Amino acid sequence: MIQTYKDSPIEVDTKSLKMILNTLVGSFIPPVNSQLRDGIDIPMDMLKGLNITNLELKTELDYMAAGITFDIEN
Amino acid sequence: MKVFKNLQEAELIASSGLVHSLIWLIEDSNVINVAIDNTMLGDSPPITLDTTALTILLPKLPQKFGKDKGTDSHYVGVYVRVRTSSKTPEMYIRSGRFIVSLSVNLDFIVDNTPNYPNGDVDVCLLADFCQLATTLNTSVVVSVALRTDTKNRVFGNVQVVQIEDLQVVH
Repeated sequence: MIQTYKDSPIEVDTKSLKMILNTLVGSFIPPVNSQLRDGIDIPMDMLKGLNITNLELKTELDYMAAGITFDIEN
Repeated sequence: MKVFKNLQEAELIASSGLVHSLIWLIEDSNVINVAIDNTMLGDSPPITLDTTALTILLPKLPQKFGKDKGTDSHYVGVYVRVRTSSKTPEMYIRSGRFIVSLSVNLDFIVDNTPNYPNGDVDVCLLADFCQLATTLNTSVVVSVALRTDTKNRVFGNVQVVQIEDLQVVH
């Protein structure tokens, strides 16, 4: 499917481009997942002053909210 | 917010507003905004970023843009600049998965200098060494499963990154 914008000299085959972009983006997923599988440290220093020592993210909720539990240091 | 004094544990239910603010922070930090060139595509990419290879997707590109435009001898580097658009991202949480729908603009920028890729695309455009050929607005859906352990680490699995819609806007 060819698309153009007003008087733009460029035509774009959006259907083929979408397919190629999806293939390209898909190739980035395995290396990202490899990193995510090993875990990423939560920068706890951004919570400095709150005395929070542990963070646990709960994503089981089927609502537009995220549950977070954390331990507070005495 | 619930606080259990004996257990020294607190529970917070963050509203969608807070989560949206986090997404906004990620957007505002320019993590998503990047200019992609040929060297970043890895081994055996499905297409290379030059005016000749892109003819199949942007048929009139070599005739209209590039230092040798309109000639048979044509190999000019192209950047794809990824920018988040001003449209607010939509976020859902379903069965342990974060699903984000982002509106992203893709600028196809032709580099007329002999030293492609030359680093700062914005400077190249300002200096008129680069030309904006076209801009596409895309709707990208990202689905990620996330969990944390008690050691302050986040683990995850990207399940889907899918371009759903694509419109020419320039």
